[in-house]
Amino acid sequence: MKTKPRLLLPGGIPLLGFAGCYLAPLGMTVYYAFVHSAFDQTFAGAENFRYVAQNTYFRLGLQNLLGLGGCMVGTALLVAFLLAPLLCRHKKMALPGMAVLLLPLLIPSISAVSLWEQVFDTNSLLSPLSSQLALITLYLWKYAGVAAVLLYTGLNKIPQDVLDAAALDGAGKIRTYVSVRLPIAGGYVGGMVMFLMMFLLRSYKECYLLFGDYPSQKLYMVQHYMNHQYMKMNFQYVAASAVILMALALLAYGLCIVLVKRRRVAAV
Amino acid sequence: MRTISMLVLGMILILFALPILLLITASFVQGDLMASLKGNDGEILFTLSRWKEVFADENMMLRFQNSLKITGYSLLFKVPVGLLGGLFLARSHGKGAKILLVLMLLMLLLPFQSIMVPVFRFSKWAQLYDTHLAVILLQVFAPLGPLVVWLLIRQVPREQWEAALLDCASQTKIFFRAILPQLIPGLAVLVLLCFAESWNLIEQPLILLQDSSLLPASMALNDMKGAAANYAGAVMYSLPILILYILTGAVICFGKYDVI
Amino acid sequence: MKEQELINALETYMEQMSPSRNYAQQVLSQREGEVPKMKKKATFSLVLAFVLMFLAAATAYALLPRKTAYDTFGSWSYLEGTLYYQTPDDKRATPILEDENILFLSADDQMLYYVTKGEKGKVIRSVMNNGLSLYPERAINTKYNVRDFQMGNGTAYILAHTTQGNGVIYALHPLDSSIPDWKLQGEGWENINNIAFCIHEDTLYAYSTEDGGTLASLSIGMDDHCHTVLVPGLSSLCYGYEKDGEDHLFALSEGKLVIVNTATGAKYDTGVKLPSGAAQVVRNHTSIFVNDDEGSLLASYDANQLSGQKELRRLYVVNDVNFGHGTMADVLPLFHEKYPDVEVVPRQINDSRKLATELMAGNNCDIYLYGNFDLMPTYAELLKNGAVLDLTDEADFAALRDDYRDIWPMMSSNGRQYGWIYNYTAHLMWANPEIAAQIGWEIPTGVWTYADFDALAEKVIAYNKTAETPIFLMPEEHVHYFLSNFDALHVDYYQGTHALNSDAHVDMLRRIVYLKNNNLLSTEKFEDFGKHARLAPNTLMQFCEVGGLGSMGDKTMLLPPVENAQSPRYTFQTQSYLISANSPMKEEAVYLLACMAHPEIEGMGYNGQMLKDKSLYLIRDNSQAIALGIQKPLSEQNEYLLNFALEHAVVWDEALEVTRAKYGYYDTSDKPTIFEMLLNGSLSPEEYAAIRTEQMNMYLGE
Repeated sequence: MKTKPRLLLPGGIPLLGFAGCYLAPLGMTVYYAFVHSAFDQTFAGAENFRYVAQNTYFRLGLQNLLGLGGCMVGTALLVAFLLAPLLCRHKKMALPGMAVLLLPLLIPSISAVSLWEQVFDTNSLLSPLSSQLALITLYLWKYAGVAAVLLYTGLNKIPQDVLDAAALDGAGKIRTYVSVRLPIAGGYVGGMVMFLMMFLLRSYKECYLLFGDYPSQKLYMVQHYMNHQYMKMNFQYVAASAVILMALALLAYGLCIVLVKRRRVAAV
Repeated sequence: MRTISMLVLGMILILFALPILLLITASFVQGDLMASLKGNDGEILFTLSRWKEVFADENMMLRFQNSLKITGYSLLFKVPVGLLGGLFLARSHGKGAKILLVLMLLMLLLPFQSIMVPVFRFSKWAQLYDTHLAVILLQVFAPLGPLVVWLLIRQVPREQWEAALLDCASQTKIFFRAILPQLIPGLAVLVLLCFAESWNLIEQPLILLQDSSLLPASMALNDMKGAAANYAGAVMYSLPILILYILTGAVICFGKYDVI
Repeated sequence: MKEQELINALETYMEQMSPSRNYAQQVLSQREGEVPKMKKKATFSLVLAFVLMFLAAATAYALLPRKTAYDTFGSWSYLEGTLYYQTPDDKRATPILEDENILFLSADDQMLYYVTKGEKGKVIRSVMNNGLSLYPERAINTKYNVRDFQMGNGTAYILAHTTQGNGVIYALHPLDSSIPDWKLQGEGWENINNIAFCIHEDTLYAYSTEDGGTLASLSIGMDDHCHTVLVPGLSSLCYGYEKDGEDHLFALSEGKLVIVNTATGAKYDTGVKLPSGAAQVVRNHTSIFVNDDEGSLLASYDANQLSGQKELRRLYVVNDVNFGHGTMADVLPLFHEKYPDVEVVPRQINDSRKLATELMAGNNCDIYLYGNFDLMPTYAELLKNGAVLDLTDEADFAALRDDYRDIWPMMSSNGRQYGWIYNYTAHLMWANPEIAAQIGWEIPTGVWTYADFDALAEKVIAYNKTAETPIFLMPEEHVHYFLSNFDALHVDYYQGTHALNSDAHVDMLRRIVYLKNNNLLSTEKFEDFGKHARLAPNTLMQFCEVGGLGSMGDKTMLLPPVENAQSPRYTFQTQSYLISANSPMKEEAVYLLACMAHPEIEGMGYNGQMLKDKSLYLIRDNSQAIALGIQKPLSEQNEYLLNFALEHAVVWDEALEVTRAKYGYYDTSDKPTIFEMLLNGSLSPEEYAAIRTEQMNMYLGE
């Protein structure tokens, strides 16, 4: 079924706007990645990339992003997977439940951070474990709710007869959940992961507010690196890091697609 | 089994709600609430003085006005822009759409620092430097809107479109009558997300706005330091969000009415 | 039959599609039926109303008429009973004072003079842009019906109607009403029926309706030269420009904006389309403003464009405190001799991220004043990264080398000069001679080392064993200066190396802990800064930040101990002018800095103290303080000490705070810094060194 151009053409406006507001600056950033610096705009080839890729702290940042970040996203997913069916179960609590879950997102970082700072007694001399705990709980509190709500919406959409069919086949509650409902709500899970990753990268602000510029080694993420290079006025390194990050994200995305396709093919 | 799971749900929800309650109480308290809760000596007096301070501060009021303006206009245009963009991404079958989609996902992930200097230079070139319009434009065309709508539309089964085609020839009508109402709960969540984002902008106003009378409230709060931070200011700052939140709750409620 | 089959086939097909189709049908029907349209409309309209409310609240901002005046740095405006001042950077005006009756405003460089209703009639009052009124009001004789008021050359001029005639221009003393007012006179000019006037430097231009329209240029300076020309139809004047020795004015003439040559009377139409109701034309040094008859702004135009003169190029100087105090007054004429078409414009950028962005984007930041900005790079790094211009080989500065002492290391890194120093703060020490005599210690008059310091510490410990009142060696809050000295000497931001994990660092830390543990550090609060600074009680010595010769007086000062007697180095904190490598006007910027460094410029505070020629010292003694008895004249020993320190200086440019704990954004003052933790024993010197090493590794390694 081909969608009428009448519906699609107006979509050109937002996309042009996006291109102008975001893609054009992105292009300029890529340009900066290939010059010596914002002050000396002579061509530098792959020098910046070499410098950044070999830099110990950039690598540390990436490591932590994947490690600690993966942890944060993983726990958020777990919480969401736990909460969503519970909400489904107890429909009466669903509405106030959603209200409570979505609220933390809207509280400005500064207020939340001031509270967390008091509770966990944070400063960057805090032991790495406690710091990580503080970060993870803050992240969970703020964002796991949205993920849960999204998943709940997805689970709700599953037609009842599918569930009945599964019950008939003798699947218990948990089995139904894992094997039947989750795959069907697969699109939502994908969306959730996307959001959680976006929030992960935005959580730099909270980390900075809690721990300052140079937190313990376990918390130092790529955004710290980028921010410091920015303040040192080395925009070329910021740009190079951004390009490397994008390349990695593309790789991951590509992998996901390949994996999903494989699974689909295997399933059929 | 049922009661246990209800209890578990209740407990988790209370855990989520706890920090908010603490924040609200703290705004009414003179002195360090947290310290006294921990058992240290701390005077707590329930008072409205903190709130009076916030209202009396004229500068703060101007900042709030600016925040409202930026957020209001951003939201007003973001929803239709997101809808149209998401529709394009979801329904168009060309390669272009796929590439754009990937680009949008990447932009979502990149921190704003990566494009901060180019954005600044572009704003100067476009003569939009030191205007609210620059900040609003950046928000309106942010990738989040189209992406969320894309996700939502993808969830609508293709068969619905095709089945509806049998009853009604105009695709536009189908979209607006049949598909869009299903998206409304999701859109409400999108509005909330976008509101939260616009309300908490720091870097964009910092570099795009020169005149101090144009700065939004998020920057003023950013300047505040101190342990017993201005909770009243923070809560007041959160109020518009909360009000909008309640409204969107109403929208979700009516939306859900059908779906549930 | 076939039909039936077809129908069956269709039905089966429909059945197959059925879940979705039913669903779609459901959805479509629900649209019409179940959910009442009213509810949906209600929610929608509520939301829309809310959004619109937002927008309305946010954009309501009415414009009201006001009166305005301009000075070099900003503009004054009078709106609804309040007088405001604003600088170009900040469109939001600052309220200065409230007065319901202000009639006219006129500003000169620092003060605004205004005519308002006093108790017994009109008065002239004055106020500065910081709100201070230095002078009392001056009453205007009630015989004048004041129609216009302007300040020029320190005198107040009014255009008044009196019983003896209309439109007469008088000169009044702005402050002292006992000095008689005088009616302006000029050869060949009748001071009557004037309808407009304006003043520029030494000339007053008055336009009267005599003879069909007479424009008079009256000299109000030393001579009373007067020149008149006939020009019909003008209604308001302001100064324009000088060309070929002839002055031109901008004027309103029959609804048009014209240029009038005051020598020949020729009138040229600028061709500018004025908005209706234009009644008055005024200007500041860059723009022409057209107001209506109430004084509200209708339009503004660029003065240079209108005059057809070549547009001035602009050189931006960021965060420079000198501009505000007018100390650039001497530098600019010297600069303009070589570059007359370059306008030097001050800017203020307070946020470090914003400064970084603007510097990287190359946006109107040619020269900036820099020093210890949070999270911004050090001078060495700026030089290394090529962010600032390397001035080592600039001829303009080479010429100055002979005039100055060897202070070039204070603005260089790795042998390359990165800027011009604006001011410095030396870390010297101040001793108590009585206590020194008490313990029998001779205050060193020159270089002394840490070894000597340790010996002194032992001496004090021994003394304290038998003394009645124990004395302290230093105040506890001053011990960190030792660490800053260590930092300045052992962290090389240019090379990216540091020695914070060396034994020397740990030894220094141990020394500090040793002092603490043996009660040699006093903790009593005392005033150590500013004009009330005094020695801590019962303490032998303390650090003293010296910003110049003026503050030292005859205090018993000494140099701090150093590591190596052969190459002593003393810590200085500096602020320097830097030139951004992005600047499109590098030559001009370098020349401006060289002008600032010129030995004969008096305004730049510290230059005099760094010159070899003593007679050019600007601040020798703080005469006011001496007159008040707070301070004694500068002693020769102190002068020698500071000069010695200057010539053996090392710039301490700290990227990461030396003594703080790593802490969150919130500056919670109840959390101990790592330095405090070292002092109270919760951190051992090795641990402290390890923390700082880790931090510095991260900073330098990125």
